Amino acid sequence: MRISLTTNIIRLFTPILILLLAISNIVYSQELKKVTDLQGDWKFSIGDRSEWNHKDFEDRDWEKIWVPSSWENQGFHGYDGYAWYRTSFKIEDGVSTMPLYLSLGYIDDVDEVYINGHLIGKTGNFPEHYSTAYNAKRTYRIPWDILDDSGDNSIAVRVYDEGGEGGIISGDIAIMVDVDAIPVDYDLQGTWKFKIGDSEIVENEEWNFSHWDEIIVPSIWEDQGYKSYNGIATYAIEFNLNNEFEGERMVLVLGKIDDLDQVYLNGKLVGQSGDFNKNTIIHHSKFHQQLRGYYLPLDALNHNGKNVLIVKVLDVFGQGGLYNGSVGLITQNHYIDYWRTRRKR
Amino acid sequence: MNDYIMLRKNRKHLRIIAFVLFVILCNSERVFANSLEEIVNLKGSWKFSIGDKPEWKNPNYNDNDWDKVYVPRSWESNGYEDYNGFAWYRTEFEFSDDMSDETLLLSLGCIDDIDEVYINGHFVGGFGTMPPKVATAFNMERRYEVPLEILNVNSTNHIAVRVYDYYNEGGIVSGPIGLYKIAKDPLLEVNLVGFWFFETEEEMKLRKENQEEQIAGKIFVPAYWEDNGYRDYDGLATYSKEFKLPQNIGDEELYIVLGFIDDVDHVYLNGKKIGSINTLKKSEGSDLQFHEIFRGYVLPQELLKYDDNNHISVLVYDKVGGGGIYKGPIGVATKENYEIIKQRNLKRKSNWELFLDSFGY
Repeated sequence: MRISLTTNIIRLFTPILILLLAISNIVYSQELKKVTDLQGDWKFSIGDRSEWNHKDFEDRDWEKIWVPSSWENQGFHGYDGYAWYRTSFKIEDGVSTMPLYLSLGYIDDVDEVYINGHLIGKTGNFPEHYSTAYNAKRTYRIPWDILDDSGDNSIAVRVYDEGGEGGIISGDIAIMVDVDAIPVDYDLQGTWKFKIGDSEIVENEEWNFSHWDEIIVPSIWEDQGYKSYNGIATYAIEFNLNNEFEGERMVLVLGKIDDLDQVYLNGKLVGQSGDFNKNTIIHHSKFHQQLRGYYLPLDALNHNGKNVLIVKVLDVFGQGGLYNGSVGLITQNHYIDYWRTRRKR
Repeated sequence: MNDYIMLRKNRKHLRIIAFVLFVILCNSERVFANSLEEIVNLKGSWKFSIGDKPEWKNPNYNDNDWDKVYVPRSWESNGYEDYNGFAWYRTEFEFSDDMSDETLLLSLGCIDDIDEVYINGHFVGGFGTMPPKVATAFNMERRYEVPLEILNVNSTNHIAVRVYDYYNEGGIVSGPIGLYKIAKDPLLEVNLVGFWFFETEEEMKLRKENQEEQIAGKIFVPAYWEDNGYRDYDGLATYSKEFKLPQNIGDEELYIVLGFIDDVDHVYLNGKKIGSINTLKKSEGSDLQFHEIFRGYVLPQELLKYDDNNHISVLVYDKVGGGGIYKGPIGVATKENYEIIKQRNLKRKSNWELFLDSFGY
């Protein structure tokens, strides 16, 4: 009697438990809204010259090419190697406070993107350390301070194709806005210093990052030349403040990180998603979906001078790094406003 | 034979599931059924703001422009999806009962992950460790002793709760939310449900090294100490409390009732040992497990003080799983009432209880 009762209850109980665990695993995706469609005829040239990224470069005599589609389909059959794409766009009314993104779909194999002559992102590795990223979706954050919000803005895309199809192949080609992005007051996205492996953090130490690699933040480090690297890596950036936020409590927004992070500002721990313990990640697989917003102690920032921000990341499997969302400083009051507005939507 | 093996196997599984559930769930309802009486229900709409400002604890802070959220419920389910970090909850209440002589407590159910609680600007308690070195307390039951002198009887009282959530669900998420007092128990001359001084063996060593007299920690009795801030603790711990006998008690034989304890207890009255599970086992020859045996001991009249404070202390040793004085009633009873309480707690177990027993606690 007792045996059958217990057995039946186990049979009933186990699936319920499994179901409970499954339901709690909700996937979040970034919500991007298209504001300017860039699909159509672009200017195109094979070859590779650094001045082709300039805003005012005269590309009138370049070929026309349809984007997206491989260049083999458009008269450049059998061409492998470097080529550049150029076009321009105007900022739509009403998006001037929103975080903008350039979506370029899929590019075969490697690319580097400039807006008004400023590098905004790259994916894959050019020769000599070639590595393809043909299956990575290109979405690049566009910093507002490089944009002309009344005139034309140039886009220049440097592409390298190792073999087979080449160019901007497929996908959404557009300027997009991230409806949910956090409007930071001090933008820290862009080029950071990067190093594979752990770093010892010592307070008040003078850092020398000159021998470190460079990496675009946010991005998946697998797309930045660190293919299939799992383990600890260290990100670093130096920035100067000029009393803009004196007396304000600031929040350090780091977007989403795959998987765990420990954040040091001027040598002091200011936030972390936990100890670097593989088991934590295996048992709580949702760390990479969590938005990081660390409330900084009032004395953590040097409000008038140099600050050193170091983010250690442990990635246990799959993609790794500071990979998504706004990255920067926001005043606590603006942060509160942002979350209240977001709730009302 | 096969069935026997099946049962053994299943028991092992059940033990694992039960242990996992015990660790994951924050289950405040365990205590509230009969030992506590609600004075003010605080479930419902609270003022809420993300962020973290010290002035938000002040009773006169103007929170008119704050959002409203339902408590208890995670802030993700209250419209703050994807938010991790600091947030504050505020509400107010009035009460008019005459509360002198009562022990009041504020229950905030389960909070994910860490909290600090203020009533009328006074800090009344908190669980977990705030950043940057975060230690979660998401599965702790929040019960805070509320000193009467910080309350405004017959006028408005303000509660402010600072919460830090570091991933997934956050906020005051579930459980009983309100102001409670210890329920009257007609069978007890003195009801000892409430906050007891508490320290583990290590805490005691540390206190003695620092030559401190007063035990700092308090814990709610009855409850598993795992639910009260001692999450992974197995080993020795001491509970202690002072009590006064009522004036008109006479010279009846009195008993200390300690409900159920997991696992071993040694009980002292005014410094002298008066009993332990081992004495009970010997006298009753029960085949129950330790945590299933109802605890009650004679209070020797020569040790009792009739016009002064008596000091009761209970040394508990727990080997594994849930530990401590985990189930009431707790108090002082006459011999006659003690027998009634004991009979009630010896009642045959239901099938459901037998099933729960198979979990292993």
